[in-house]
Amino acid sequence: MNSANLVKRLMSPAGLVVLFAALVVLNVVLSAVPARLDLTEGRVYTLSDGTRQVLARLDTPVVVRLYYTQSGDTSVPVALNTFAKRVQDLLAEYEAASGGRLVIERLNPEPDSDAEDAATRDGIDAQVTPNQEKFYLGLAVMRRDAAAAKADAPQARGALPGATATAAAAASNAVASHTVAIPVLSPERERLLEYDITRAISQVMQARRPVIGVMSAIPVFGRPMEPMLGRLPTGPWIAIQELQRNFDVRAVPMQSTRIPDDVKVLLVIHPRDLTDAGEYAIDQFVLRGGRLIAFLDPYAFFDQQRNLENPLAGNTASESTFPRLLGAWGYAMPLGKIAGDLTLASNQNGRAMPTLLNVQGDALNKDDLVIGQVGTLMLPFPGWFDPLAEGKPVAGLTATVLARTSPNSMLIDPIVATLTGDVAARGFQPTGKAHALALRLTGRFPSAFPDGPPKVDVTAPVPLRDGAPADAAPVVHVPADPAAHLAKAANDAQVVLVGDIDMLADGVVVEIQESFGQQVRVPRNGNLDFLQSLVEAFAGDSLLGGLRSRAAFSRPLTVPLEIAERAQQEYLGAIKALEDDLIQTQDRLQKLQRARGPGSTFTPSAEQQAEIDAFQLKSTQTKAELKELRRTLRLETDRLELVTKVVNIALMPVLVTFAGVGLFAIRRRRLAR
Amino acid sequence: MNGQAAGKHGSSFINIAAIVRRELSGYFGSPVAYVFLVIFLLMAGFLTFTLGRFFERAEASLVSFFTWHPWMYLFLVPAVGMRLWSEERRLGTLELLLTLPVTLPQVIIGKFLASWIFLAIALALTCPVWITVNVLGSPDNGAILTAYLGSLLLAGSFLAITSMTSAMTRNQAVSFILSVTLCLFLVIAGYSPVTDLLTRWTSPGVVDVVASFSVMTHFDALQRGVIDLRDVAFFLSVIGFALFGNAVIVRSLRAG
Repeated sequence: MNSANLVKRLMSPAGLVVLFAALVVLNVVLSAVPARLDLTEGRVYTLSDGTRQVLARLDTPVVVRLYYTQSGDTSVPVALNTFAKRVQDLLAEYEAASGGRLVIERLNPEPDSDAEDAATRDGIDAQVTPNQEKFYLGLAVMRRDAAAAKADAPQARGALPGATATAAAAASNAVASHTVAIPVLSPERERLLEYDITRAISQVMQARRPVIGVMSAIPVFGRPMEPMLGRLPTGPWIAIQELQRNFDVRAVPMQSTRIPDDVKVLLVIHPRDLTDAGEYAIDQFVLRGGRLIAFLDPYAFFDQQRNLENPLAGNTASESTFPRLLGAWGYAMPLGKIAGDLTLASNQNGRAMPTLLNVQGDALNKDDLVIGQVGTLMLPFPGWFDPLAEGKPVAGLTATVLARTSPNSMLIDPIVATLTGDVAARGFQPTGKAHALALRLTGRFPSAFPDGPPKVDVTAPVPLRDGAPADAAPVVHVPADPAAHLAKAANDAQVVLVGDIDMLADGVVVEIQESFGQQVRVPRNGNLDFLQSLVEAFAGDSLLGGLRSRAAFSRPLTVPLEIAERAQQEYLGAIKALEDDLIQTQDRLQKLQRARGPGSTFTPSAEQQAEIDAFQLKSTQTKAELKELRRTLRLETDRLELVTKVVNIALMPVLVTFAGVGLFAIRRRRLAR
Repeated sequence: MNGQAAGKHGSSFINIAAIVRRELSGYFGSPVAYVFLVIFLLMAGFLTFTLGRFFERAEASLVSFFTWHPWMYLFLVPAVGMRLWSEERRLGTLELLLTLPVTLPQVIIGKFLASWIFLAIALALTCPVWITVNVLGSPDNGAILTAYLGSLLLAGSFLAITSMTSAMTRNQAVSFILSVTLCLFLVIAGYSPVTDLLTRWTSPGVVDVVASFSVMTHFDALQRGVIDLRDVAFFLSVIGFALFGNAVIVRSLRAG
């Protein structure tokens, strides 16, 4: 074939059509090929190693059912549809990486369809669009054999081999096949999407969920109504609810003399009034090689109790500690005082609050597997741990500080704990050293009860303060068996001590946002992350821990915020003082003028008139000063914005103009020669 | 065809480079290029900080910057490319050009590359805004990098289309209008208000297909921070197809 002829044939309108078709085919083929380069910080759109490892561990086929309503309802926001597309993209990555062991099923639950029934059965929640239509976007993970069983017997719901467990289900120890559902996939939680999906897969594969024992003087599991004590019911803490999604979480009574053997991780949250028996139980648990996570607090703002010493003083924040264990391990947590830090102070309405710590950056130990993944921690009114001897724990233990204060810190008296701004900074005398807010101890632990179990009167009444866990299981009132006493550690154990419990309270960990009629919990900080990662790391599926904090919280423009904050610190104090002044002056003015009211025979003397005039003058002056100060407040911010705009809009064009003019001048000169 | 001897594969790179150099020096020798650069930079900066509400959003990202690119390119790129072939046709220098020891594909690619490089320079001159956002906060620079890549590919696509339309006519204005129209279709096929409207008439599947023909879909995808083969392939397909069309048209001009 003549090559010129061929070229001529190709380079024709017909050839153009052929090329078009070829390109379309190419693009379609490529759309099935997952080839991408993820350049985002933290590689947010790529499957992480943890997920790949979980997928590699799959020993039976797993089915992931994605329920996504595509009914052409135009009131569904486009952002939700693009998010759904990204979910599908991510699931495609899962499928590709699983080597065939994971299969994605896509269902479209339109109203009154079979798919909708399946969605309800699998525990997917319906959202409502502005057009009053039902909209589903969620997924359910199950093992293939369970899926088949379900398909065969759709009517016998009660007889299904595995119970359908929705996210907030109570601790169910359903063995073998069960369905794990993510009822709503929300764009607000997009960056945790990979974690949520991998966790669901991991849960489905587990025969039994690890047991986490929770020992707490606070009703973290919720509390029923107690009309006699005038108390309303409370629900379980969000932190506990989140743990319940992955684990079998059980309450362990504070007075237990022995921690049950099947508890893998013991979570102690605010052991207020810990008895000797309880402390002994914890001691022995650690010696048996258990894993302990303890949240202690010298000032628990979220657990206000009657002050037993001074009952008339109203409720005050309570405290908790390990009276003997800490000392045995080589540490002490100063009680009756709060750790304050000017460098880590958080910003409350423009004023710095040194007792509400915003722990981030250098204050977190980036080398630690758990805390290295956490972005920031918010610790309200924490305590710190000081080593008793030379910065080291007792022999046989290794200590790793997970979070610490800056050297610009000191212990603050509770009375002044809630102060902010300049007032709080006044009189601050930093210790000049960093102190541990959270630390991890590993190794062979010494016993705090070397002489055997403490003498405990198991019939003695529990101290009368509120907070007994709602679902107090039958208390293990068996005197500790002296024969089972361990005087020293049988195995290596791990303990994490944290000096604050307020960080786990609902209001501190999440913000509740509305998303299409559904309430979504959006984390405010890394607190919940921290707890979950810790528990996960201790409970053994360490793979999940690495997945969680790839979420970056919002990226704000920090410099304008800092400037605004600084300006406020400088001027807000002055503004407030002036405002107070003004109010006082106007008050006095009013009083004087009222005396001259209608029907009054009061006539001011020359002196009094002078006073009135003086006050009026002062009032005008103060108002002017206030106006000036308020203007100054925004001055630096406005200047920043102006400079930024000028540089970005005008700078380059000006340079280009000069370059152009310059080049022409040079050329003119060259031509003139 | 004459000139085969010198225009062989081995020296095609040299030929193309020569053409690029010729075109670029043509650009920078005329005040038009500078005027274009100034207009582009002023518009980009102005739109980012006022309509784009950069400070109000208080976010360390360049979304308020990149969101304007498709609309800016819609008019500015045809303005750059409209003279690529129209000028040669009008002045009659087209034949002269093709008697030189270069092949037609080399000329097409060379001219296209020169203009693309010019646009790349314009894009590079917007770096103050990237520096600014890094000074004021801590953005995801990977995402910004891929967004710049997307912008460059988008500009290239519009340019290739303009190159094709400019070969169709001697009149630069006609070339401009044709190009703007074609590019407009490519943009709005994936623009959300339009796709939302389309879903009323057809199924979401069809809308998806239509949207996948749009530059907006792929441009938005590149802004996330992920360089996906699909998106790059799309832009390269558009460029390849338009330049091929360009070749077909010029060939037919010579033949006729």
